[in-house]
Formats: sequence, C-alpha cells, structure tokens
Amino acid sequence: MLWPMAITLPRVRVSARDRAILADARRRLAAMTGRVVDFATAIAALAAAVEAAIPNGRVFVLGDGPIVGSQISGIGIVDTPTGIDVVCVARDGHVIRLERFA
Amino acid sequence: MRGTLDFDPEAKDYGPASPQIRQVIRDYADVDWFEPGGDLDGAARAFREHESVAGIPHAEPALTEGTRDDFANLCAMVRGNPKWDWRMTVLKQLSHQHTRAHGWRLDNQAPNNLFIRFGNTMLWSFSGPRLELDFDGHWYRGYASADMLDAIQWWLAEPTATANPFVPLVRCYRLGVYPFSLSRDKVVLFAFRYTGQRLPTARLVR
Repeated sequence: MLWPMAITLPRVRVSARDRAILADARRRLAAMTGRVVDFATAIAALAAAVEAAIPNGRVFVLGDGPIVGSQISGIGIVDTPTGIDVVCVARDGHVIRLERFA
Repeated sequence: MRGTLDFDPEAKDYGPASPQIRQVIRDYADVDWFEPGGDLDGAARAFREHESVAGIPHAEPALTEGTRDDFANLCAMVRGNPKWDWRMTVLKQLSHQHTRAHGWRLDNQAPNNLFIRFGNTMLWSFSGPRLELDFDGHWYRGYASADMLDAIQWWLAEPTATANPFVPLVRCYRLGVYPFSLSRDKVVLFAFRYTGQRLPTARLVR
C-alpha cells in the first residue's frame, strides 16, 4: 500500500536511563493504584523512580499542563483528557508526544 | 547571554540560610552563558576550593580555551563514557550523602518559589532563568543548574555550614568557565575563545 504522503515525526532519543525510570515508574504506579490512575499518583511514582535511580535525583515542572520530568532530557509526563502521556519538551518549548504512560 | 529571574530573591524567605541561598541564586542568574573570555585562572582557584571543601581527590584541572566544536567534543566525551559518570560518581553522591546526613527531605519543605506540591509529592519548581540554547548548551546547562540546586539544598540541609562545595562550581560558571570531569583524575576547565565561529545560541525566553 502506498501512503499519500510521508509523515515525518520529530526524532526524539529516549536514553536507556529515562526508559528504565519510566518502566520503574509504571511498576510503582501499578502498585500504588487500583484501576483508577490520577496524575498526582503518577507524579509520585515518577519521583520515586527517579529517586531510586539517581542519588539526589530530581523531577521538575517542565512546562504547562503541567509537564513533570527531567530538565536534562526534557522527558516527562503530562495529564491529558484521555490519559497520562509521556512527552518530550524540546529546547524551544515545543512538546512532542511520545507514548502513553498510563 | 544572561537570563532574568522572574522573582526578587531579596523578597523571599528561605529560612536561616536565606542570605547564602539568595547569593547563590543571584550568582547563577548573573552567569553570561557561553560567551568568550572566561577567567580560567580564577576558575582554577574556584575548582580547587570545590575539591577541597568536597573532600574529593585532587585533580589538577587542565585549562583550555576552544571553539564551539571543542565544547561539543567535550560534551560528547562525558556523555559517551560508560566507565565514568561525570555527575553520578562524585557530585550526586556527595549531595545525596550530605542531605541524608542532615535529615533534609524535599517532602518536608514548605511550598515557595523553589518548590511546588502536587498531591503528596513535592517537586523543585526552580532551575534558574530560562534560556533557549543549542543542543550541547542546553544539555550542559541542565547539569550546571543541578549544581546551583545542590548548593541551595546544601544550605537548606545545613544552614550553619561554613563552606559549600557547590558554591565554587557556580562561581566557575559565573567566571565564564565550564568544568568537565573526564575521569577521577582528569578535569578540563573550558572557556570559549574569541573566534568568528558561532557560539551556542542563547535566546531569552522569559
């Protein structure tokens, strides 16, 4: 099948450390919550995963939404009407959606 | 390029160490990022003070002037070294151990312009004035901001401390010099040389 146009998505490289932190945060979130996942609990899970992975690790408010994550990589999570997404905040402030967090 | 704080540190209360914390915030806000003409000798003195206060093995820093490409190469060297994490191995551990030794907890802080609470989780909300930089500049400055926050956290955890190992690192940035820890005994202090080459771009966004 030929697509009518090529779609170029922004290239975002998620580091192995960020991937591991997100995976751990998902595990922690699953342990913290039942079927209902709220953003505050997701932030708590992410912060705990960062603290476990990085001595004195910190998560920050990266942008509106709010987006909460790493100021180094710009990888964070944001609450949306359909769920919590993993996003990357680019250097110019643009937000690139990467995947569903929960 | 300098950023601008969106608050007046003098109007903020950070507890017993308020004067020291306000000074660190002002010093970091005064950094003129990635401009040529850094004071390498002054930064070397500051870096030795950092090592002395931190109690970490002495590494005589190599003083280097270079171009944007040289800066990018140094960033790539510390990013791509699987055997030596230039932040985790020493600085993060140092801050972590000091924080634990003094029983400081982020969760116990009152919300102010440094912290914000979401649910039961307290987060840092301040990481210095916002600037838009190129890839390497943005990456490097993220770690420099961590040094500034570690300096603040040090004072918060131990307001009576007579010295703070992260303060001299902030002084290096203010002197226009950028430390790179390449291994346990190899440190490069880098300053930009005046050339016609384009420096990492910086644009004030707030």
